[in-house]
Amino acid sequence: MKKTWKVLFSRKVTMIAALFIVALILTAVFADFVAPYGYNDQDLRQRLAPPGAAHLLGTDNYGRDVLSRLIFGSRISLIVAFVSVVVAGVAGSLIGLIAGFCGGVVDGILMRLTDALMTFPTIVFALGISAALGQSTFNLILAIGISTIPPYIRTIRGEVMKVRNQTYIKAARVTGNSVPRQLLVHVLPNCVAPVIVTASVGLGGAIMTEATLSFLGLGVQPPATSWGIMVSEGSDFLTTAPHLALVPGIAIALVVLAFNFLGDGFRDALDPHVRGNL
Amino acid sequence: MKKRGKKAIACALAVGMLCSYGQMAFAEDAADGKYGGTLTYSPGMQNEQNLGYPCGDVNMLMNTNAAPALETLFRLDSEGNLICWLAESYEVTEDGLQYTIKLRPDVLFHDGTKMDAEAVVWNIQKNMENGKSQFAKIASVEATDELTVTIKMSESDILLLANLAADPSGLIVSPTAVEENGIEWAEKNPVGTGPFVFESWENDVEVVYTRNENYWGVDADGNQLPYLDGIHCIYMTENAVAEAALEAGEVQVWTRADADSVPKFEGREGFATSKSEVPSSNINLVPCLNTDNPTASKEFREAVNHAIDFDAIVEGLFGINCVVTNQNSVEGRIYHNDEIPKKEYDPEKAKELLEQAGYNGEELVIYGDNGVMNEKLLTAMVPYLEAVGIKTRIELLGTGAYFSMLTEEFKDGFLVGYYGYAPHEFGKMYSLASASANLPVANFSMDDETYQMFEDARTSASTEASAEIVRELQKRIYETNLYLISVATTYDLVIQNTEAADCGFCTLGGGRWTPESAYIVK
Amino acid sequence: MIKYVGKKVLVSILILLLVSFMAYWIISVLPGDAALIALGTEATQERVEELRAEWKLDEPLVNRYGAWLVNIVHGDFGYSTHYKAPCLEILKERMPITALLGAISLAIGVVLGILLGILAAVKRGRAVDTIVTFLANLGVSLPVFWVGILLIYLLAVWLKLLPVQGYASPAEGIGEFLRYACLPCISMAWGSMATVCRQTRSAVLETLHQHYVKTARAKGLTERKIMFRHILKNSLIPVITLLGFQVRNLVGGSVVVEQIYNIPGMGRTLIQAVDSRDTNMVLACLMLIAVITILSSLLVDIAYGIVDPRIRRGGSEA
Repeated sequence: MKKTWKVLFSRKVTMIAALFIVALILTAVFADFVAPYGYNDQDLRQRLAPPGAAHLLGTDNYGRDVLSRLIFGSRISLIVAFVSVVVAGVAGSLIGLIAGFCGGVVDGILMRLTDALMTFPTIVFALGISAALGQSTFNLILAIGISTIPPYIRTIRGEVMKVRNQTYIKAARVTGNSVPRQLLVHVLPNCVAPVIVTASVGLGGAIMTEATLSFLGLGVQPPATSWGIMVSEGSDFLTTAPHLALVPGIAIALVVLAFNFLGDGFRDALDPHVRGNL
Repeated sequence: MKKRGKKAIACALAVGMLCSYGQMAFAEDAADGKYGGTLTYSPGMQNEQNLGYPCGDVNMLMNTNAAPALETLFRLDSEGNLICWLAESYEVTEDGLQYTIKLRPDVLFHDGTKMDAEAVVWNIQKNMENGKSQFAKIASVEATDELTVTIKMSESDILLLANLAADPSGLIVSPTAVEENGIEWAEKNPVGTGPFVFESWENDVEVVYTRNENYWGVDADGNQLPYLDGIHCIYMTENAVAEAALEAGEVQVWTRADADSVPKFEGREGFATSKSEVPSSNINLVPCLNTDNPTASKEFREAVNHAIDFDAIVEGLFGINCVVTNQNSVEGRIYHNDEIPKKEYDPEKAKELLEQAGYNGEELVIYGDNGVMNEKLLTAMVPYLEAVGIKTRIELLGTGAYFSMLTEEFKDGFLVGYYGYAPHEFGKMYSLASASANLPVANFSMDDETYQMFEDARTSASTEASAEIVRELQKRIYETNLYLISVATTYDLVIQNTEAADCGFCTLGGGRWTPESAYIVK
Repeated sequence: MIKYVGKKVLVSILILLLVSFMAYWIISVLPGDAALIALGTEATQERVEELRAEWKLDEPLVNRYGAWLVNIVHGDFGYSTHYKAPCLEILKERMPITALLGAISLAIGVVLGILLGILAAVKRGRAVDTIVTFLANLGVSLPVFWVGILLIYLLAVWLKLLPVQGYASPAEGIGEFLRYACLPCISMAWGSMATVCRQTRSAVLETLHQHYVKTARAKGLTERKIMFRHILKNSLIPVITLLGFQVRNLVGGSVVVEQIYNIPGMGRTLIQAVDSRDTNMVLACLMLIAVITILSSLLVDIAYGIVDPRIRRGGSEA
């Protein structure tokens, strides 16, 4: 384990990405203290102001401070991303474990259901869920979470199957040790790695999906804010106040990049070749 | 797009009106310079699914997008005056129980059949068969002569002519075409008397029309109309894309433009922006009166009325094409009651009223459809309400959910409703708020006396008498009982390239325009 | 091999059935009445009832699903309440458009992605690699709609090189078609290209370390021969997996892109249909999407079979 961390942080890029994300999370948690204004402090006489002294990043269509909205918006974007990844990860791992353990018919059915789930692109899935259950942050998390389960199922199931066939498991059976416990003990450590990698990339994907869904009008309801909504609102003003769409767009890009780099870093850190060479 | 016309044509879309056929004011250009070219315009999103069967299920958008091909007996100008169009003249008896309409001779439908009294009678009868409330008071309609239509009423109806002029049900189509091909075909193929012949309709994409060589209309000099070779209507969903298309010259006119887009084109060479002269709709907050929720209390509603700074919202977000109104009309129109007090932004008073109302802190929900206008309006309102202590949440619903809410699920809070101005504010108020409204709002009802006034106003013999009753109605609804809170009245905005001239987009009621007089400046 | 393919096909059909039921169930839960929406505010209560009866909206779910299924098998996708025409007719026109644009985007994305990925891997650590990697990372971080709108402003409004929106079918001339298809395809291909590039790069890098490559070099084979014979074939396997995903992503991307560029394709139709609670059309679109995805999945599996001989010989399930 120690070696993993060492390898992980030996790379500058990964370090920067990790620091960036930590800073982001802290800002989101302490938004109330960090943000200069409230996220809904509207001042209809100060609309569309360019970046300046009073408002570091300018104001939006309702006279609300862009920087503050960015900070508060990061909350929703991050919450949606993390929770949906947790939902997908937990559900996916459970299902993957069951499928791997049981094998046979149960496995077959579960895999077919997974395939069925995978036929729909996330957007289409979210379209259906928002339309059916109404628009809210919760439904958004549900939609993104459910539609991103499959990779986790595949990964965990793969690991379980690999371990099942190992000799020491067979040996355990012979000696009478309960198989499930053995599997658990041997499988779980191996799963951590790929799940983390999938999760980091998944986080970036979730943020992008949330942005796209907000753009289509399926996301968070106003006046709550998320980066996706900010880009959507801002795209109406590309010529008069480009910073409105550019700033959150850049923020999204940076965060997704950071998560991707982190994911890459983990993958390399856990890859025997790379570890060996260091 | 960068070529100049021979003369600089100002942004005037205010075309001289047509009083009798063929009279048009136009630029000093010789008529020859006007012929040729195609007009491409965008009305924003497609909202209608029926473009050619006015007797069936219609939608106000049909007025605009079927206008090249379909025409009406009359037109309403911006003041609300009736102009004869396919009708040459008309007479009404004093008691309002009989109308005699003389039709213009020698007008042909696009399929070659004649537009005569039989055809008009067929159109009206089909509307009646479908139970259209606009024609509910007609007892009988007959062709008493080849070109004369006689309508006998069961009750006097002040709205009849206005509906014939500005409601989509008043559009006249060829009976032969519909009978031969069926209603479903007709809905997708408008066959009328208009200056352009329908070519194709790619659903949700575009409608294409080409010149009608046999159009009955001529301009002031006797030249055959229309000038254009064709009309192209392109639907667009995104504002940003419509703007870009306008910039690039791919579209010459953008009707129903967004207010935020106007500053980007205002004052620029080659572009013109204008506001329609006829208001297009009145935005109302409809309270849920019949269940136990904050909005059922009159004091609460008054509090809301004082808590929100409507002027700041409208000025800040919608300045150009929107005015704050306190009733379902605007100043200067006959249905406007000048005695109703203007809106007063007074948060202190609002708090007092809340106490009087016994407001217990229950959350207020405001429902609206998810159009851009609603989104802006409701988002801007929330901080004001929260500032006086009303916990507020807004819910923007997709079309389906919105209709469900309207007719069944509305149980608390406010609903944002739009009351159009076609044929005029009373006509729309009647069809949406009276006791015989087609789609009553769930859990919302006013008192019987008010409903009776609706009927009295409709069956009045003269416009003046009717208007007086309507003004009383406004007072009852918007002041005495505050059944509805009016927010603002919007006008359609048109942004266009100055190449397109005399389109008349902002000049007639009901979203109509004047495709016959439109031309491209070369 | 036949057994392998056959099994996959059967499974695919089963999945289709599952998908259809899930979709039907979700759609029926949607609030909103198709008849009411179709009629709008001018509707009368009687007319709404009439229309509901006409469209059989009041029968129980299972009945409607059953009837629908039977019709599908016979090729009848039902009547679209939003477009007032048989679904099949509408989709016959719109599906090919989405398919065509999607195919072009896929081709661009995959081909360019693979080429750039190999380039970056081979020139690892040099300037080329850094630039390509950076662009690829950027590509997966930018949302499709942002790229789309940005492209419109850059290329269509500012530089006036290409049209802002719209679609011209190839029947009207290849030149016109390409002009209109340019921006939408770039917007869609961008993400795919970036993903494929990254994956190819890491796959090639991995292969470069393998023992058999070192052996081949020791044997004295030229770099070129090594590249083609060993590296490419082996690194393509993970990339093939990606292709399946890309199709799914492209379908999702097309929904957004068609909205922005005003293209009358299937994605746009889907959104309109969901908005008007046009059950038949929504399902028709979903089924088509499912068929496309499953088909591409099937093709990917078959490609596996060809590339990886272990599978061909009937090894354990992949």
